[in-house]
Amino acid sequence: MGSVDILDPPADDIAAFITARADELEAAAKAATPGPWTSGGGPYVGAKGHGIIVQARYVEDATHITLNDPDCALGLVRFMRAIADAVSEPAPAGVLGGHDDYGRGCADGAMSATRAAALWLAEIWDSHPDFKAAWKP
Amino acid sequence: MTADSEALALERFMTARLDEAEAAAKAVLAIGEDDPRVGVHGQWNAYIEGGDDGWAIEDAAGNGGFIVGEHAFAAHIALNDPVTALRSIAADRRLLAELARCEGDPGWDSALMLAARCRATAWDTHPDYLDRWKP
Repeated sequence: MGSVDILDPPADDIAAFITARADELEAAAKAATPGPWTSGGGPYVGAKGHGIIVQARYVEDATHITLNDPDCALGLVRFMRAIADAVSEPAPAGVLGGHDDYGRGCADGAMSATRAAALWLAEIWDSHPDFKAAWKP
Repeated sequence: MTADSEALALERFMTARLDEAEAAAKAVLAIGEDDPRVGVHGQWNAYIEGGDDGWAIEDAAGNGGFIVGEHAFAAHIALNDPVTALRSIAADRRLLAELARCEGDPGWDSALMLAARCRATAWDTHPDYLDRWKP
């Protein structure tokens, strides 16, 4: 495998990887009852219209699950799709600072930053079989 | 408000949310630190219970954690286990650190500020969230 500049991974590959993870998260979150989920300080998690949906053993489990309810997951999904879109479709020339050298520098910097953010995001799932070692920052 | 102070305010807001989520995830992982038979460790899986309780959560070692009942809930909870949550929090903290570091760097600062504002929408119903942060 040849070396890959971590700030210049093939955009389609990493966008597709992030989009696939977003699809999984979104499908699971939308299949579950919308948030906010609540725990009320006990080892239970409740959802509106469903009553208690989790009988946890520990309050800590319930608190974590409540903070990571479907609304929270869908917030991450929105972010993932925004990054995947941005890394796939660079801003048109001139949007960030004109068509001069400064403007082109801004556009290049923005794309490098977006690609870097895509790598940080993808690394969450670095044990996934589709994650490429070359993406590891 | 200047761009710098706006970035700082957004960073403080997001850091507070990340601190909450990190404390909650770490509290789960601390259960049974001295006894691996207690609690659900590592990454979680949804599995179907043998009895009448439906679905539940277990870890890779087969430690059963708790009853969830419906598959849809169990699948969502397993995908958002504490280990994955901590990895997501680490990515968010990296974004905030780079946003602070790249101040004045053409392109990087505007792109990472936009990314942070996109990420912050996950908490847009929080009372401390400011509508002007919406991308």
